[in-house]
Amino acid sequence: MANPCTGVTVTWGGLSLEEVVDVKITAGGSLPIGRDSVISLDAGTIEILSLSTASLGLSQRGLKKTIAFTGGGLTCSTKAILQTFATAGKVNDVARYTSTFKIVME
Amino acid sequence: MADTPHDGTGTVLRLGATQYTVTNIVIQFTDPNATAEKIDVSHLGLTTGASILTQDKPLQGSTSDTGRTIQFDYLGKAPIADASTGTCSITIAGTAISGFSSLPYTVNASTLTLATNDAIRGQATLRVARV
Repeated sequence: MANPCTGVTVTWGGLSLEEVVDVKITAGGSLPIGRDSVISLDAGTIEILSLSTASLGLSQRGLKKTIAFTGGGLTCSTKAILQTFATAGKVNDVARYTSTFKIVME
Repeated sequence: MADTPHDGTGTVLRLGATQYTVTNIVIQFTDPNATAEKIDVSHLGLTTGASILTQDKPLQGSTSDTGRTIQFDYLGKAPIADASTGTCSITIAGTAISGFSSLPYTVNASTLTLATNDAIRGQATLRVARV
């Protein structure tokens, strides 16, 4: 049976991200460097769209913390660097925030 | 013959003192601030079975947008000037429809069609006040 994507909690450095409306986790962005190695230059990307800036903001850009997802079939925990933080606003709507993280393999 | 109390026989539309030979009338009421016009702020943290979260839009509908229009088709060769104003009334067998007696209006759009082998036909859309 398919997993309903509800009851999801997201934390970044142990602090909750609020009002998350969309999550995309892509593990692996490039092939391993060596024939026998699992090390790759791009370990993957996490993109989060939210309606709140709680625990996240431009000042966090470049920081590496543990990002963790639980519930709704999204169980995942990994270290990641906040790469970009985008804010979008339009007339007669709420502001929306897009955070992009690069997964770090350690 | 049985009465048909809901037919439109005897319906008369007047703009000011001018009475039009009307073949069709459509009255539309739309709430410019309808509750359906809300922002969906639901998020992944909601549990299964929870209600969708909504939030009022920050802006209200324009005060000039009453949300109420009357569109009618008529027979006649006189065009109705756009942006003209006045009061309109719609009566059925001499009785005004509730709320449609001396109702202030502004003409939104008007067309007049002249075609071969046909009567001259016009169509107008009025924006009417909320009263």
